[in-house]
Amino acid sequence: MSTANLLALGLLPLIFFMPFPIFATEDTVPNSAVEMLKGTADSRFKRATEPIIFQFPKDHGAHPEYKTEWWYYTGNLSADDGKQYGYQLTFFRSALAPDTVSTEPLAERSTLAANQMYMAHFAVSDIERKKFQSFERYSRGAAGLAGAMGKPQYQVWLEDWSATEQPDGTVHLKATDNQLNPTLSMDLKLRQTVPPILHGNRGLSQKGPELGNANHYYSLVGLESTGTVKIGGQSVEVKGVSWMDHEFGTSALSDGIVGWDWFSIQLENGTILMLARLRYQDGSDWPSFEGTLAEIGQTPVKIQRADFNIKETASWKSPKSGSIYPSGWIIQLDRFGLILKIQPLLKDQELNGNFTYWEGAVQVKGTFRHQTTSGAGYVELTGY
Amino acid sequence: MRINILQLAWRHAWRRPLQSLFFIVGIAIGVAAVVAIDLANSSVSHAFSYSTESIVGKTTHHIVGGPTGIDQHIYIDLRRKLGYQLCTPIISAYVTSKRLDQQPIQLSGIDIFSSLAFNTDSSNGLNSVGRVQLSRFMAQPNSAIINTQFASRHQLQINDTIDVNFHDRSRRVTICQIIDIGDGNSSVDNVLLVDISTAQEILGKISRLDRIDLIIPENSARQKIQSAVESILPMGVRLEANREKSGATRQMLSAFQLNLTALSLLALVVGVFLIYNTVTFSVVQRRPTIAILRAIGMTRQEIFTLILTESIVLGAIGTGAGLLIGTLLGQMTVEAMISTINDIFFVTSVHQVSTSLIVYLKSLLIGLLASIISAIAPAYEATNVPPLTALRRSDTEEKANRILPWVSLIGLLILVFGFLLLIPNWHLVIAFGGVFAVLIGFALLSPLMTLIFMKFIRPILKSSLGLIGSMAARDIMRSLSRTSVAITALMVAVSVIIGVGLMTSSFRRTVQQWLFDLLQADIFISGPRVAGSATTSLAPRVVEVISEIPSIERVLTNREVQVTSADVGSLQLVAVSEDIAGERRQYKSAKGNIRQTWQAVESGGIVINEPMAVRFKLEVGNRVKIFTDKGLKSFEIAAVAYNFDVRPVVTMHQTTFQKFWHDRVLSSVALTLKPDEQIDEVIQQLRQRLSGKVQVIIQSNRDLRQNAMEIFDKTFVVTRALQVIAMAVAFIGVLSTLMSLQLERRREIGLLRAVGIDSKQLWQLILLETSLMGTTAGMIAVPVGIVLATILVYIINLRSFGWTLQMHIQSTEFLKAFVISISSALMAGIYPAWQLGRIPAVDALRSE
Repeated sequence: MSTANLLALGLLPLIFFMPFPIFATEDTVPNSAVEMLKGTADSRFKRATEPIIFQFPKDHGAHPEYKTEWWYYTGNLSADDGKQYGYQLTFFRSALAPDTVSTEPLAERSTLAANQMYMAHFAVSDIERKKFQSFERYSRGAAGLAGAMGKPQYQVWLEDWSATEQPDGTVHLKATDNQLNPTLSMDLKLRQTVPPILHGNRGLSQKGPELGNANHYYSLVGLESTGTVKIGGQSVEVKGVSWMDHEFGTSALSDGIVGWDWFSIQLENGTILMLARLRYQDGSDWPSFEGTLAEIGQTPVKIQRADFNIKETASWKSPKSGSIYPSGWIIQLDRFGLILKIQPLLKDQELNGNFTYWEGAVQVKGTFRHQTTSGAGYVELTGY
Repeated sequence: MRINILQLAWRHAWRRPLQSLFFIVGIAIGVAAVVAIDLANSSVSHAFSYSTESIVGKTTHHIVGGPTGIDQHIYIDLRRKLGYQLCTPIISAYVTSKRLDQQPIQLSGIDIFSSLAFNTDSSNGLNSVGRVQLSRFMAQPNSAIINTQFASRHQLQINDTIDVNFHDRSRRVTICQIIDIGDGNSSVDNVLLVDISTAQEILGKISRLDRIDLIIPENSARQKIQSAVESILPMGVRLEANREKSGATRQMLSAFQLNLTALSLLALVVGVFLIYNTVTFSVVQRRPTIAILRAIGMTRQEIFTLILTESIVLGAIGTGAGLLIGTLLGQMTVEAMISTINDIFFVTSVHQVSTSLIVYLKSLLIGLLASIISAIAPAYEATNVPPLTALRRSDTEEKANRILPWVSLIGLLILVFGFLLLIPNWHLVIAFGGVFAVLIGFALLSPLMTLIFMKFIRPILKSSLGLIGSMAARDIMRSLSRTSVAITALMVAVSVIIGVGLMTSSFRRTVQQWLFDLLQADIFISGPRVAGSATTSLAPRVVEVISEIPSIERVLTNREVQVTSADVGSLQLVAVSEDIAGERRQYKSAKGNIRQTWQAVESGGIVINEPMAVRFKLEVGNRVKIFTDKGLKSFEIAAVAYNFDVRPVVTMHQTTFQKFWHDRVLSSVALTLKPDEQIDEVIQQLRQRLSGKVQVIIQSNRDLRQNAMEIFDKTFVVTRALQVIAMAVAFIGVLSTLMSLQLERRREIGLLRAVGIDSKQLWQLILLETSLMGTTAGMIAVPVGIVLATILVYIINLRSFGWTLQMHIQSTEFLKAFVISISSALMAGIYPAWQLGRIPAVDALRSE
């Protein structure tokens, strides 16, 4: 399960199933979102009940027959002088209603009419200057304002924020807080190096015990990233590695879950790890969760909940929301001989849009099969 | 010795209940008129400020285009190409629905995401929308949100449907949510809030937007942002700062309000005369009592306080009653004013009186001040009563005769001053000050005129009616200090009635004549027009149908749209195929004769209406810059036309319009029939062929004129009501004064009875006197009324609205005035004559 999945499970319903939250006050935090998630999934939409055969590039595009979908880019970057940066650029789609065939004659139909709505988050962590900035946008999926397509070229966009496939096969990420008067901009080229990793059962990732409470889910990992980050008028050449999740389905959060901690780790040798805890109120978590461990050149391996142990080593209290987040972990996967010490690169990577959650760049040190290893990744914390 | 002044005052009031009642009623009516108008005015202003507030509050700029709005791709480009976040698309129009009593309802199409950044607390309250169900609002076609007030006013519930009509379109809208926004008296109470796509579909504006609102913050990047935005705008679309477009309407509205306020003050002025009169009388009547009070040790100051206290107490009661009555009248006035305002100014949903403390405080102050000021002079007079002596009346009258030249001189000076105020084109308030000065000047000249008239008429009366006639005239002269006040009060009231009546009837006649000249076609067809919308459009089918009917000789087409001028702001543009008034058209000023002027229009010139010319000081030969679909173009004014629209109106030829605007829709057509064709028959044919297909309004020349006059008459409802109020005040004033005057003559009458006058002769004497006073008032009121009407017609109206009216002197107005003054005077005589006729001479004399 990806960060996007969990985030979306927690937050998207708040946005889309429930009364519009943009108007919500600051007290509306994901805790209540989790509360609101309870119930059944919208029956008017298709559900992910069995694996599908992914067809790329078509399946990089939107799947409006499912209620929710997201494209989730995160990455760890550094400049020539060693300064580190983290970024997040995520696009969410939510269907307000299933697409139906209109009986109105074409000339009487407004092209602004939308059954799809899009949300996007853009955040950059400037580790050296200890500065974290995040932005949020919404738009209707109509008239070209926002959308996603796999063919002829992969593209997902919300107004001027976009991920666009170039003729050379790379994907161009572009986002800025204000194009005409920017304080933060990002322009990256992502090159795919390994085939997509399908999570769960051939890409069918279970989110709860119920049938259909699942998403189709694949990741593009080890994305070689180069480009520029512009902060406060200063342009910095950066390179690094990115991770993209694409997920779609019509699922609902299971009873009793109050939030989650999600980890995406890329080690220097190309090994990747995705795992998460879906937490209950009493501190325990959903026992059937499945993660993925993938080594270069090998078939990805499913990780059961019993395979890993997570220990929190520090905590951090947000001055803005007052929430107390864990701020350091030791993850142990004895079955694979893997011990990782995970440390946020910046304590404050809390997004304070209409939803408050922590999503940030982390550094990773540890041992893998008795050899010292290191890496980078992203962690998402909700429900605190 | 301690004298309880309040108690004395009270006892006096109690002993003369009728007088006290008149005092109270007089001031109550005056105050009520002021309160009612003030309340109505403040409600209307409140409504206006809401109506002009943008649906979104923080807007600094707009992107606007021609009459058909702008293409939606501009908005898409703004967001996708420029990534500009602080912009939101707007579509807004007035629609009607049977379910909503056919009242104009604003349908506002918004994009909820982008609109959020714009909302403020003072805008329509959308920022407090906590619970918009997007899955219904955005994704279910034809869904609308309304607020709680709207819902309860029309008994609407969630999932109820409303069939809304816009021009010739009709759509069924479902209420998807009822939310608690707005303060119960705001524009949002009258809004169907829909998604922008829904608005496009309902209003038939597919892929169009009315405008885009923007916030461009005032910082170093403003210029850069403006240029970037402008760089993506196609020809005919422009970025403009959010200046107040409604300036012209606001000016007109305040002129309208000021006119009503002035009228309500006139009613109060009449009331003040009445109070002055009553207090004076009560002082004169109590001279003996006052003398006794002085004799037993009351100081002058105490006497002064006594009289003043009496007035204040009665004034306070009257004012209190006035506030109550005014509040009730205010509700009715608001209704009357709102209907006018919906017809000519803007559409509003406000039907409630917005009661304001300030209005009440102001009226309270006015009422009390009026009581005090009008009592000061008589109270001062009372202090001059020497103790012990029961002064003879003749002393007072001698004094009155002494000061008469001075009063007249002052009256003359005030009169001249009033006229001087009217000459320069200063603020309207000053002009009204001039009107009041003129009126007061005439009022102060009235005693002199009364004296002259009596001197002139006395011999005539003597020769025709004998002793009684001579006595009546002499009595009036003898008691000039009081008779003249009564006559003046009546004169003021009657002259106001004449003045306002003449103005209204002149206005009506002028509009009637204008309509007659203008409407030279036989049948008029237009799309259904909703009050408040700048335009209407005619289904193309109508033109097809017209061409199928052989009895039609000529078709004149008309397109009416709202455009923006760089010089005068928003204006109404009318594009015509030919001048409907033809040879009958009368211009206020023009390039040449009718034919030459029309040639100038055909070759690209424009005709502007008089209100526009007056307000913006434009003349024939000047140029007006108008934003067209092909950019900013300048047009030469070929003529200034008489027109009774309050908005600026520009008329141009259809070919000129089509050259600069991509708009081929028609708003209305006018048809002339071949000779000997029956208008009603052709209308019948048209209706049959169009029935069920399109919504159109088909009117004959006669119907259209009648409708126009109905709207006109509705506009003057409040004016007429004020006229009636002034009349009522005058009537009561005269009644009270004359009655008191006669009752005071007990002793004199007793003497007359004793020397042999019988009761029939007494009746004759009293009624002759009162009717003589009524006639005098009426006679003075006629020229004064004409002067007032002239000022109202040629100065106030022109400056308020820019309308030149033709003065029509209508004899019925004079007749009305005379009937009022004489009948009230006669009625005032009946009770005293009856009362005094009953008393035996001995009793009457006993007071000696």
